[in-house]
Amino acid sequence: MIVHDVIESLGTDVEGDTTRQVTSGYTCDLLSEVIAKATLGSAWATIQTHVNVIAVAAMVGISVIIVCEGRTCEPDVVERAVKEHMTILYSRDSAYTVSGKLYILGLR
Amino acid sequence: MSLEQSVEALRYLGLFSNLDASSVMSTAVYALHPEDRVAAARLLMREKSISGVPIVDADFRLVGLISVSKIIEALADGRLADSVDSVMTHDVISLHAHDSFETILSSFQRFKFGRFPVVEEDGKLVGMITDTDVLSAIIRSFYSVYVHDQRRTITLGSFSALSKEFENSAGFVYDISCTGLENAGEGSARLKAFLQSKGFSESVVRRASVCAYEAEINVCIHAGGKGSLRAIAHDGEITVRVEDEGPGIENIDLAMKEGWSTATDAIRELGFGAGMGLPNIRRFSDHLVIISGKDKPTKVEMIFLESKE
Repeated sequence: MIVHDVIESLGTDVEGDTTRQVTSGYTCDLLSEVIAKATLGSAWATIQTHVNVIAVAAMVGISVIIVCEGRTCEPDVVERAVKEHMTILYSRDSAYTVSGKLYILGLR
Repeated sequence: MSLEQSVEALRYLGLFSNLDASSVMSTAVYALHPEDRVAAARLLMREKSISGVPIVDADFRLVGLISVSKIIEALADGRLADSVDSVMTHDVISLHAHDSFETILSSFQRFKFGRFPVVEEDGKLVGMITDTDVLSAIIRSFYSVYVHDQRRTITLGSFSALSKEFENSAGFVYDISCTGLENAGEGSARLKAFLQSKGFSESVVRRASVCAYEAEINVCIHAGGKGSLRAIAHDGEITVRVEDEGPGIENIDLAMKEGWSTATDAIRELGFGAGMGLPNIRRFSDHLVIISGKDKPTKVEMIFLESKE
């Protein structure tokens, strides 16, 4: 599955590259938890929108960040994401719903 | 390890460098005046279970010391009723209040005495140091050294607690300088790229960079954003050292506990300060040494072994 398939399924807005492989999912707003437990190639659902989200995602090797609850990132964050070749999706759904959809999509 | 080597190890590791004579000594000191009787000294030693009594003048300046052996001599000579100054040692070896921990240890080693009076610049007696005081100070101090290693003692005892190589050459050097959390993580991102370029396996690179990230974030959140991130990487081994200029970790045992944090609410709202930083570092590193203390710089050194994958 690639990021594009996730977008199709969630019906989200997108910033960035959509061809990266997505192999699993992780949902959390505590950055240290994400760093410790999310795996390479994860789709990460969160309500955090600040610039450190990009740093964490890059560090872990997250394939796509899904910002939930209709939140959006500031331009400087998007700029950083572009620099790190990171993809951000925006969803109006809660992190719970997004996680459910990802699960149905086959991500474990 | 000989005492001499131990002193050298202490100097090298910077361990106990925060301890000077004034922080090691006992301040509850029993002293006598030169005109007091030897019998009084004998009584005092017996009552208080001490093996030596400092002798001071009216201004509390150290003028001598009377030890158990001197009392025994006086007993044998039938001089218990004489004044203390006729029996005491006059040229006493004393320590100064600001003498370093190494100086204290060296004095014990050199003079083989059981106790040393501690004086201030003007010669006034301010305390005594016995070997028990030294031991207590070391034990107190260990609250500010954390070693995550099954071989805790060996690690500390064999100099490897903080690797020497950093003194001369580190393959990777990054000056941490962040205001707020904007640039936090920049150093560890660069470290990750550096380690990848060195051909290390993906998982060991991940462990090392995740730990470096946590340590870097700690510098940004807790240490005013000023510090350094350095690494040495070769032969399947990555050593990462993160240092800052303080204010230090007051209680490392607490800081190692999951969920314990001193971060502010504003920091927590950003998803930091969950009290997982150091626990994560412990979890992902193969060896970990933290040296810190209240109002001290913090040094975190982590070793990652490719063979542990």
